[in-house]
Amino acid sequence: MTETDSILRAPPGAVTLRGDEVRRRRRVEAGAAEVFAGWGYEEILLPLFDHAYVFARGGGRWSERSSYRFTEGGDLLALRADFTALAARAASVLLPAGLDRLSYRGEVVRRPARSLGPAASREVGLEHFRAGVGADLEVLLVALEVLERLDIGGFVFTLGHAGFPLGLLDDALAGNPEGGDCERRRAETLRGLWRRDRGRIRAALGDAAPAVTAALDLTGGPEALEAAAALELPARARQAVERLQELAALLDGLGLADRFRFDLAELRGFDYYTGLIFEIHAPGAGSEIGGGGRYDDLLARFGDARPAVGFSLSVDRIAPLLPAAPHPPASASLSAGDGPRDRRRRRGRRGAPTGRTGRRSMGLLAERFRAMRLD
Amino acid sequence: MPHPPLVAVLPTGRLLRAAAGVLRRAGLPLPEPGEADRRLRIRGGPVDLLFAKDRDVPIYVEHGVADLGVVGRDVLEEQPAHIYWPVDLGVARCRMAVARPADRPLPEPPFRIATKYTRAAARHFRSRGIPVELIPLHGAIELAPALDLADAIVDIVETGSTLRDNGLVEEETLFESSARVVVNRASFRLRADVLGPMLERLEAAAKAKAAPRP
Repeated sequence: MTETDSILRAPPGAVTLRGDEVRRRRRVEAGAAEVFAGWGYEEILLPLFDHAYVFARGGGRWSERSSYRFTEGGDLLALRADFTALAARAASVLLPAGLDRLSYRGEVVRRPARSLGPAASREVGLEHFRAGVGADLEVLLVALEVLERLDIGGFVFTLGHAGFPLGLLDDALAGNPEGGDCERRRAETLRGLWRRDRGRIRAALGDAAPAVTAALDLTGGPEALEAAAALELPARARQAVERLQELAALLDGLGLADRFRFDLAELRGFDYYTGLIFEIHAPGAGSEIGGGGRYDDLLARFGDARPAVGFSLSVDRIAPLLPAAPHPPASASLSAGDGPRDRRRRRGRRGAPTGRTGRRSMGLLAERFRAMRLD
Repeated sequence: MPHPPLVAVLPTGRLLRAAAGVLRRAGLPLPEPGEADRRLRIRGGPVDLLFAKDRDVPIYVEHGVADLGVVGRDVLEEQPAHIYWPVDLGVARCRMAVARPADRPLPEPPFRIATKYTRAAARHFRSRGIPVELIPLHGAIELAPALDLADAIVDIVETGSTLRDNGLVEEETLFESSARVVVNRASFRLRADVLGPMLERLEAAAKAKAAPRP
């Protein structure tokens, strides 16, 4: 390839966006930033690269292998592949311990399974370094408020708990030990859960499989939790169901039950999460538009004992779902004119109800949440 | 607001011929056998149907242009996609295997391996710590050892007769394959009301097929 070729042609994955593509993404980021700030989350700016081991320690689905690594002065560095690991490290090592609500936005660069090159994607998200059902509920409400504010139609949260499938799995393996084979059977079962493939779980666990495949049938409304509670369960799985039932009751009390479903087989990748797990889907998006959960062991990898719960939203996947822009980007809209369009916009800002729950009632929701004084 | 019908993507060719009976029994509006039908899209029934190349099925489903699809595990292992595989239809059974010339045992590694399934082959040998040189081919893989282009092949085996006819024997099985129903992860959540019963019908149809005829 001559130099002229490489000047004219960007490599695969190097994408420039313009026009509405940009405006939609900025609207998502601005809406999220406003909601995050309203709930008291402090935005931090995280580095675009770090030591590769930070992302490896972060664990997660986007661990070392999907990150872009390079050496500098003898150190192995990586482009930012994940915000959670970076935020956890910042909170553990750099930031004052009292700072327990952080938010971030920006790009991550990963190598998708079938890509021709690096792929950057934009995310907004937050981390809350506190234990308890109150912190779990808080992050769910913050994510919900962002999507309501952006007027995303028909979105559904699916909640699970790592303790349920992992509790069943560890119990099945403990009751059925086969020496060094245990690791492989555990990994195979996790793959089976991940793909909802009963056959793979049966092949890995044999007679002990039904106790684990049972989790695959426990999806739906609160009745799925009742069905789970009626089973004979190991302690860890029982506690997981109880935590989800507690959360379901709180969401019901806030009038939000119709936005939430349950799926007791959900793991979102392998054993990264330790508690609540959730994914958000919306009509028109083929994959989740956001997700998160609780990872109480994560900060410990950086020498900090605090628990953590958080989520990220995909700016790129949410942007196409936004309703048409409230105001076209005519150059006139930059001036301080007072046309009907500007008046409408100001009314909007004051909090006209939008979406099903509406902005005004979302404000009330935050107040009601605070009045609950959950720990 | 009435919901749009579910969209299913089916692979053209061998796998569809094997799975057609089970799919019809589950209520998918497939054209009758023998009907000359070249349409790539059939709409108007309870489920919209798309017909695609088998390796493209996981991509249609992952992107959500289809809610569900049917494809062999051999393809799913080669074409990784972030999708669910909830139902095994139990038809189009075959296995992915390493085969070598009957008269020539494998040499010391590194082996030269000819295959259409480079990903599955690479993973298999890597997991055993065996160095290999992969020779990607698109068909007539069985020729490669005879011409000494490769020491062995990795390919799907149904009855084993093609291997025998070309003087090859199976050395090792990578995995057993059959036709799977795959599902988009967003549809699994958002269309659970219609998709759940559809998956149950598919599972029941697969079981009925597996049961011995009275």
